[in-house]
Amino acid sequence: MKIYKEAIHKKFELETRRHFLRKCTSGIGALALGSLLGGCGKVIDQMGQMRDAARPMKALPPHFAPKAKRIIYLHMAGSPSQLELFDYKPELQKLDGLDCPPSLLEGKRFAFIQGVPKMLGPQYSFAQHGQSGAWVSDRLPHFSKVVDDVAFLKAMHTDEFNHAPAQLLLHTGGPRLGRPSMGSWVTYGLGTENENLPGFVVLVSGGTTPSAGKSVWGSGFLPTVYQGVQCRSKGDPVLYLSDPEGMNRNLRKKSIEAINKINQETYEEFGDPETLTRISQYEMAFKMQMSVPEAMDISKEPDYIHQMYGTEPGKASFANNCLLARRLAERDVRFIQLYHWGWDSHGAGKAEALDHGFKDRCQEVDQAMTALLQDLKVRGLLDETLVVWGGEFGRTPMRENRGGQEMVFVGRDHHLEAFTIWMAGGGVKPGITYGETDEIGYYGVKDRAHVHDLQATILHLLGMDHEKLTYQFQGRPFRLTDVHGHLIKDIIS
Amino acid sequence: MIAIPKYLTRFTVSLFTMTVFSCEMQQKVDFNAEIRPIINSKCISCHGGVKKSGGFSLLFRSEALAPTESGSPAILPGEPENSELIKRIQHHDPELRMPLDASPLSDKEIRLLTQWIEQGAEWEDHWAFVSPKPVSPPEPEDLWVQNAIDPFVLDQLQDNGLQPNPKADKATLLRRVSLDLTGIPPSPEQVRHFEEDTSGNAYEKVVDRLLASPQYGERWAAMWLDLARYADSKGYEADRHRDIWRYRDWVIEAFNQDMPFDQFTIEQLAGDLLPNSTREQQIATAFHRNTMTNDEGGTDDEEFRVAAVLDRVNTTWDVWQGVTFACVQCHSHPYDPFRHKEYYQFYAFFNQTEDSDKYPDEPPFMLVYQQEEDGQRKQIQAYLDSLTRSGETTRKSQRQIARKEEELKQLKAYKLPVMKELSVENSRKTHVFDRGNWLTHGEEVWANVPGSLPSMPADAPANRLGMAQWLVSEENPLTARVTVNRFWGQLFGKGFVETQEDFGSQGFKPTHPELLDYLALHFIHEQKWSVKKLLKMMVMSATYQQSSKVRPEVLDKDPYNYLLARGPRFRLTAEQLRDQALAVSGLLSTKMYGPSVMPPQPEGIWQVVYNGSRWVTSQGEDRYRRALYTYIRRTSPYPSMITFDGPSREFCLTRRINTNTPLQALVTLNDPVYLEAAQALAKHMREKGGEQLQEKIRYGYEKVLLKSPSSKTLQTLTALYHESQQHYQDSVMQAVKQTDNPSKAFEPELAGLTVVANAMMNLDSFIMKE
Amino acid sequence: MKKIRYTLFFLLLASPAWAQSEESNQLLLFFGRFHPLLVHLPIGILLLAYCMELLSKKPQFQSMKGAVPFALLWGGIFALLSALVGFFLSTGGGYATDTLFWHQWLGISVGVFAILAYILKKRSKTRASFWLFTSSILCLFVTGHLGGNLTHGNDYLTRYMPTSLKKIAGIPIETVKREIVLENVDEAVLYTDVIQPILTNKCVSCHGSNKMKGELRLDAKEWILKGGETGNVLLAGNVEKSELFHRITLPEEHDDVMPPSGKTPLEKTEIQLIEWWIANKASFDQTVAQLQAPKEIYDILNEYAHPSGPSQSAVFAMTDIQPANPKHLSQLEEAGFRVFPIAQESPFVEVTYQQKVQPFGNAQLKALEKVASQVVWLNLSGTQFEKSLEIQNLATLKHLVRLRLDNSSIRDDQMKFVEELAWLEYLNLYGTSVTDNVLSHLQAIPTLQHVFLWQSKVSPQGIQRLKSAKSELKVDTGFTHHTIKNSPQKES
Repeated sequence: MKIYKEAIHKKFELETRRHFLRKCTSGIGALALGSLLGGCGKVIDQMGQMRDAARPMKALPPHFAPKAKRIIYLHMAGSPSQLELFDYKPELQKLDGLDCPPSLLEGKRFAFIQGVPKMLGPQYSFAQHGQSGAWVSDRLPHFSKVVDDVAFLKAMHTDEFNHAPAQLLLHTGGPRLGRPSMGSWVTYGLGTENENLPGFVVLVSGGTTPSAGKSVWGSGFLPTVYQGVQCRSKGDPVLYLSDPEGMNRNLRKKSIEAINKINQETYEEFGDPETLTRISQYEMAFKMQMSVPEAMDISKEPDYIHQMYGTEPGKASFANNCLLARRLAERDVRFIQLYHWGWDSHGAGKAEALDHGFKDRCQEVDQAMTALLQDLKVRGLLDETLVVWGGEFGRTPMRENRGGQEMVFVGRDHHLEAFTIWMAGGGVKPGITYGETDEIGYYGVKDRAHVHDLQATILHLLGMDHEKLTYQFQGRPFRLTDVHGHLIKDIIS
Repeated sequence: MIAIPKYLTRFTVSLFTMTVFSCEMQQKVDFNAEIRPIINSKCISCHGGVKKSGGFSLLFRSEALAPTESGSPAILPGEPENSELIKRIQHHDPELRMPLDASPLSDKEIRLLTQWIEQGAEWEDHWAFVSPKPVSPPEPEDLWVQNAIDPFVLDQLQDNGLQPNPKADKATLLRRVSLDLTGIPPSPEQVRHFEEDTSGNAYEKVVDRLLASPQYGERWAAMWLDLARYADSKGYEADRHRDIWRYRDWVIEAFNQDMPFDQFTIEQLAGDLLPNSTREQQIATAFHRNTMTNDEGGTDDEEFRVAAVLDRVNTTWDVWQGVTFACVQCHSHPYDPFRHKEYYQFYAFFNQTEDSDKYPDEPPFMLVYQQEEDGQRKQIQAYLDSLTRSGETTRKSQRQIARKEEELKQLKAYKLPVMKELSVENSRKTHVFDRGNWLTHGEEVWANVPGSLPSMPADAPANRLGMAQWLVSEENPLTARVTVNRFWGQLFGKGFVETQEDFGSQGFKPTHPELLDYLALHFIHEQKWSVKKLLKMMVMSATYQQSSKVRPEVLDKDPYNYLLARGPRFRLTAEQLRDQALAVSGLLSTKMYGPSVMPPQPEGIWQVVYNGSRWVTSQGEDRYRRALYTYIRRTSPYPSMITFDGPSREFCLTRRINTNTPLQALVTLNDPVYLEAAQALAKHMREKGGEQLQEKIRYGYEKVLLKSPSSKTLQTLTALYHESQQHYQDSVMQAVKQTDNPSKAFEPELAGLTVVANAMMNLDSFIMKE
Repeated sequence: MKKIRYTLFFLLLASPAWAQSEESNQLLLFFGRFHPLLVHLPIGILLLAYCMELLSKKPQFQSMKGAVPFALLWGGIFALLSALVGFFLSTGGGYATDTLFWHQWLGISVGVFAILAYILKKRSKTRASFWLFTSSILCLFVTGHLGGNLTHGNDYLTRYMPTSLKKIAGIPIETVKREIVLENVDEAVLYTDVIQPILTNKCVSCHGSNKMKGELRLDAKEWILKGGETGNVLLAGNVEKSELFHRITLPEEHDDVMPPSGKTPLEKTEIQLIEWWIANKASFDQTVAQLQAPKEIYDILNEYAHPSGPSQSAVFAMTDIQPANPKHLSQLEEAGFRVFPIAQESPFVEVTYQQKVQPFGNAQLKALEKVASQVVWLNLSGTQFEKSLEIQNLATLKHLVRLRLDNSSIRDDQMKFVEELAWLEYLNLYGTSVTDNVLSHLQAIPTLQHVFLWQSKVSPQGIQRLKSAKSELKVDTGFTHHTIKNSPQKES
C-alpha cells in the first residue's frame, strides 16, 4: 500500500496543472489521452478532467449531480415483438390475415418479407395492470405486477433493420464497427467507484454473443482499458482470473510482493513512472482476484432469493445474470450489461417462432427481470440504479412470408419504425407510458424517440451531457450520440 | 467603501495596456504558427468545410475573400478596419460578437488577425501538404554524434538546455535492437558474444545480422497487418472464415527481401494492373480484400460493397497519407483543404473492381497452396506443360497426364480473394454520395486526386495503378514523411508527429520538423525507399543507442521524452510479449508461413451467431508459433492480444494506444501460455542451472532479462522460491495423506522454480523495452 | 442679487424645519429640478479657470492670470448653488443612498475648495491656492460621475464596455432570467403572469428595448400588437397565420426558427401555452379561469403553481458552500471512507464507508465532521458502529440528502439525530434492528420522501401509522410474495 501511495504522490509532483499548461505552450500541444495512459502522470484531458495514469478507472465527477449512479442494461438480442408484449393493437387483430396495404410496403426494405405479406394480429391476450393501467400481455405475468415502477417508451425507432448494425447503432451510436460502446463511454467519462471490480461488466446468456459480436461492448477508438469485461458463468468469471492449479492465495500474494519489490528496484534505477503504474496495477489485479469471484458467487444467496429469481447456480441463464447484476450493482459496478439471445422471432423454425421459442424466452426473462426490479427496490438501490430493457429494433405488424409463401410457424420480420423499451429507477418517472404508435403499431405517431435520444437520456441520468462527453479522434471530437440525440425530458422525474 | 473608483482605475489600466499593444512593433505574421490555430480552434467549426454560417468559410483563401451572404466579403486584405471579421470579433454586443456564445478572442488573437489582414491576409499551406525542402543537418560539433540524425536531436536538446543520456549498456542495447528489428530477444549467448566483441563495428555487425534474419520480416509484417486490417474472418454478424493467410506470407517475404517501399505500395494497391503481373503481384492485392464482407440474411450486397470501397479509400489515406480523409465522406473536410467531391473522385479509383460482397466465397479469388505443395504443383504443372508442348499423345502419356492431373487435384487449394478490375464495358459510374449516404447520388465524378496535393504524374493512367504511382511519386509531400514517421514511432514509441494518423492541421506539430523532412527525402533519394536502410540508419544513431534511464531533471523538463534526451522505454506489443515469453523459455517455434494457428484459448470465447466454427487448439509446434500466425477472428479476437491493446482488425489502425491495466497482469500471471513458458524455463533452470539454488535462479534470470540480478533481487527471488517450495511440499503431504496417487501432486522443486520463473516474466523490465 | 442670496440662505437653514408640510415638498422639488440645469455651470467655469491657471504660467498667456480669481469665485458659488438645489431634489427620494451621500458632500466640497482657493489667491498664497483648486477639480470629476450614475444607473458608463474589458475591470456580465411562479392558477392573468414572462425569458434579449431585431419588440402589449418589419406577428384567434407562433414551431434546423440556433429554445409546454393564448384571441387581461383552460393546459400551468419538486434536492442550489479542504478529504480516506465529488465544480461530496477497513468509531465521526457541510450522500451500509460512539453527532452533517444505514448495527436509541437533518430525502434502514420506536423520528423529518424498512423490526401496524401520518412518504417494506408463485404453464 505504501508503494502505491508513493506512486500517486510521485505523479502529483510530476504533473501539476501548471506544468501541463507549460507543456501546452511549448509547442508540443495538449497530450493525447492515449499517450497519457501509456504510462505516467496526471494530465487534464480534453474534457477538463484531471486524469491519473495509475488509475485509468478512477471515479471522475459527472458534469452535474446524477440521478443514477449506475446502469443495468438488459438487452434482448434479436429483438422481441412489441406487439406480443406491450404495444396492444386491437385494430391489428381485426386486420389479421388480410393482405398488407401496399402503402406500408412502398420504399421500405425488410430483411425477409417478400411480395405482399399478410397482417398478423397480436398472438396473445392483453390486459391492463397496476394503477398506471399499462397494457401487458399474458406472457409476462410476473412483470405485469411491477408496471407501476417502470416507464414504457412505445415509439422508439432506429435506422437499421439488421441485427449487427442495429445493435451497433444502439450500443455504439453508429451502425458500423469501430466506435466505443455506451459502457466504454460511461466508464471513460465517470470511471468507477469500485476499482476492485471491472467498471464495465458484460453478462451473456442464451448460448451466444449478440450478432455484432464483442464489438457491442468494445472500446472502439477509446483506450482498451474501457472495453467491457465479459464475466462468464463457466470457467473463470474473468479471463485468467484464477491462479494456476496448486497455487493458493497466500503464495500468489507472496509472488506479487516479490514482483513489486523488484519493480520498485527497477523504478529506482530507471525512474520511469510507468513502473510505478505497473506496481499499482499488480496490486489491483490481486484485489480483483479476490473481489470478482466473491461478487460472482451466487451460491450463498438465501433460498427465497433463488426462488424469486428462479436461479440455478453454475448455469449460464438470464436469471443467474439478473441476480449477478444486483450483486454487482450493490458493489458499485458502473455499467452492467446483460445480453439474452434468442428473440429473433421470424417463425422460420420452431425455436424462433412466436408460438413456440418466443414463449420460452418470455418465461426465461419474466420472473428474473421482475425479481431484479423488486430486489433492487427493497434494498433502496433502484432509486440510484437505472434499469433499461429492450431489443435493437421492433417487429413488423405483418406476418413474415420468407420466400414469398406462408410459413409453418408464426413470425414477424425486423421492423425499424416502432418498438417498445422500458426503463426503471435511476430518476425515471415511474408508471408512465411515453409515445404512441398508430393503430396497427407500424409507425410512431406521438413522442417518437430515436435510439440516439435514448443514449442522450441515459447519459443525462448518469450526470453527463451527451454533447460534452467527447473524445478527440482523427482530428475531430467524437461522442456517443455522434451529431444527434435529444434528451427525452418527459420521462425524467 | 464604494466600488466605482476601484474599477475606474482598472478600466484606465486596461485601456492603457491596449494602447501599448497597438503601438507594438509590427512583424510578419506567421499564418501556420499564429493564425491557423486561431481559425481552427475558434472559427472553423462554423465557418469551414462542414458549416458555412453566413456563407463565410475560412477553409480556402478564395472562399474567405469571397462575398458572404451579406453581399460583401468579410475579409478585405489590407484594410482590417473595414473587414467585417475584425468588427465582429470585437463587437460589443454579445449577440453579434464572434465566436458566438463563446468567450471572445483574446486581445492578442484579435491583434494577430488584424495584423494578418493588414499584411494582405495571405494563406499558407499546412506544412504537411508542402513538399519537404532539402535540409542539411547542423554541423556535428559533438563526439556523441553517430550519424545525420543526431545533430538535429542534439541541436534541440541544447536549445532546451538538456544533454543526451550516455550509451545504454551492451546487453540492454542488444535486447532493445533485437526486439525492435526481429521482435525476439537475443539469447544469452548472443549477448555474451556481443559483449566480448570489442571491434569498432560490433554493433553494426549485430544490426546487419538482425536485418538479415527471417524473423525481421515477421516482426514488421506484424506491424503492417494492423494497417492492412488483416484477419482470418470476414467480419459482421456471421463472421465466417476467410483464407487470406497467403497475403500475410507475402508481406513477410516482401519485408525480408527488402522490397522497396514504392514497389511494396504499388503491388499491394494495384499489382493486378501491372503489365503481365506475376502471381505474387496479384497475391499482394489481397491487401484491399481484407475489407469485411456481410453474409447476413436480407442484406443488400451493394450496400456492403460500397462500405468496403469506402474502407479502401479511408485505409489508403490512413496508411500512406496520414490524413483523416474519412471526414470528407459526408462533407468537405472541416479543417483540411479537401472537398467533398474530391473524396468521390478518389473513390472512383477503387470503384472498378469485380468483388461485390458475395457469399459463400468472395470472387474474384486465386487458388494458392501451402509452400511445399506449391512446389509440387509447380513441378507437375511444368511436367504437364512439357508433355503437351512435346505434343506426343500416346496412350501412355494420356494415362500419365490423367494421373498427374489427379495428383494436382489432391493438393489442397485455398481461395485467396484478390483485386481484379472490371472489364471496360461493365465499368461502374461513380457519383458523389450526398451527405455520405450511398443511396442519394450527387453529380457524377471521374477518378482523380485532390487538388490541394500535386496532380498525378503525366504518364500515370487514371486508375488504381496510376493512383498508386502518384502516392509514391517524388512530388507527393506525405507518403515518405508518414512512412518514416511510422517506422520512427515503432522504434521510439512516438512518431515525430505523435498523431501518426493525422498529419493534418488538427494533428500534433512534428517535434523535429527538419529531421522528419531530412529522413523523408533521404528515404526517397539516397535510400531508394529501402526500409532496411532506413531502419539501420535509425538504430545506428546515437539517439537510439542512449540509455533509457530517466534523470530527474529531464523528467521534469520533458516527462514524455518528446525531445529524446533518453532512449526509448515503453511496453512491448502484444505480439512481442508472447514471442518473448516463448523465446526465453525455449518453446518458440521458428516455423514460418502457412494457415493461421490456434494456440490454447479458454473455453467458450467463440460464440458467434449462425456460425458453427470452433476453436480447435493446434497441436505440436503450432502451439508455439509466433503471435502473428495466431488466428484472428474479428468478432472475438485472441483474448490476450486484445488485453495488450491488439486491435480487432475490423478497420485500419495506424497507432495502438498502450494501456497498463490489471487485466494485463492477470494474463502474464495466469494465461496457460505464460505458465507453460514459465514451467519450461523452470525445467531449464533445474537441468542447466547448476547445483546451487542461487545459480539456478541467476541462470533463469539472465535467460529472461539478459542481465545478472542485483543481490537484492536475487534475495527476493530466493525467498519466493523457498515460500513456494515449502507450499508445494506441504501440498504433496496433503496429497499423500488424502489420495493414494501422489503423482497428481507437483514436484515441489519444479513447482517452486516455476513460480519464480513466472514472477521473472512479470517484471517491469521484461514487459518493457529498455 | 442680495435678495436672492438671502432667500436661498434662509431656505437652506429652514428647510429641515418645514420640510414636513405637503406643498413645501412640492416647492423644494420644483427648485430641485433645476439641479441638472445648474450643475453644468460650475463644471464649465471651473474647468476653464483651471486651464487658464495652468496656461498662464507660460509667458505668452500671462494675460489670463487676471481672469482666474473671478472665474474661481463664480465657479465656487454656482457649485454651492447647484449643491443646494441638488439637496432639494434629493428630498424626492429614490436614490442609491450610498452614492448620493458621496455625490452630495463631494459636490459641496467642490464649491468650498474653489472659494477657499479664491480667498487664498487674493491673499496671494498662490501655492496653497493652486492645490485647493486642483482638489476642487478632482472632486468635480468624481461628483460628476456619481451624478451620472445616480440618474442613469450604476452601469451607465460601463454598459457598452466590450466584454473583454469588463472581464479585466472585474465588472459582472449579467443576464436576467425571470422564473415563472403562479400563486393561484385560476386567478392568474394568462398574458401578464405567463405569456409575457415566457417572452421576457426567451425573446426579449433580441426583441426588446436594448435590441429590436426585425424592428420587433416583445416586451410589452403595445409593441407585440405593433409587430415588426414584416408587419403583424400576432393574428388573434388564428394560430397558423400568426408569425409569432409560426416561427417558434419551425424545425430546429430551419434558418428562420426562433429562438435562433444557439439560443435556449422554447419548451414544448411554453409553445403549447403560446398556441393556446393566441387561439383564445390573444387576450391580454383575461385570467386562466375566464379562459377555461383545457386539462392539458391546466396541468402545465399547475406545474408553475406547484412545481412537482425540483428533480434534484434544493441543497444543490446552495451557492455559499465552500469546497472541502483537500487535507480533510484525504484524512477522510485514511479513516476508511471513499469520497467522490457529486459533480464538476460542485462543493458537495458523496461519502461511502468501507466496513472492511475498521469498525466505525469516533475517529471516523471526527473525520466526517470536518466536511460536515459538504457531505450530501452518506453510505454507511453494513457498518458496525462502536458501542462508545456518539452517533448523535451525525446531525452535524446538516446537508445530508441520502443516508444509507441498511444492514448496519444502528439501534432505535441511536436514531434521534435524523430529526435534525433538514434536507434528508432518502433513508435506508433495511436489514437493521430498528423497531416502531424510530417511527416518531422519521415523522419528524419534513423533507423525507423515501424510507426503506424491509427486514427491520418495524411492525405492519407501525408502518400503517407512519403512512397515515405522512401520506406523501414512500415506505418500502419488502416483497409481496405472490411474485414467486404462478408462472405461466410451459406448453410442449
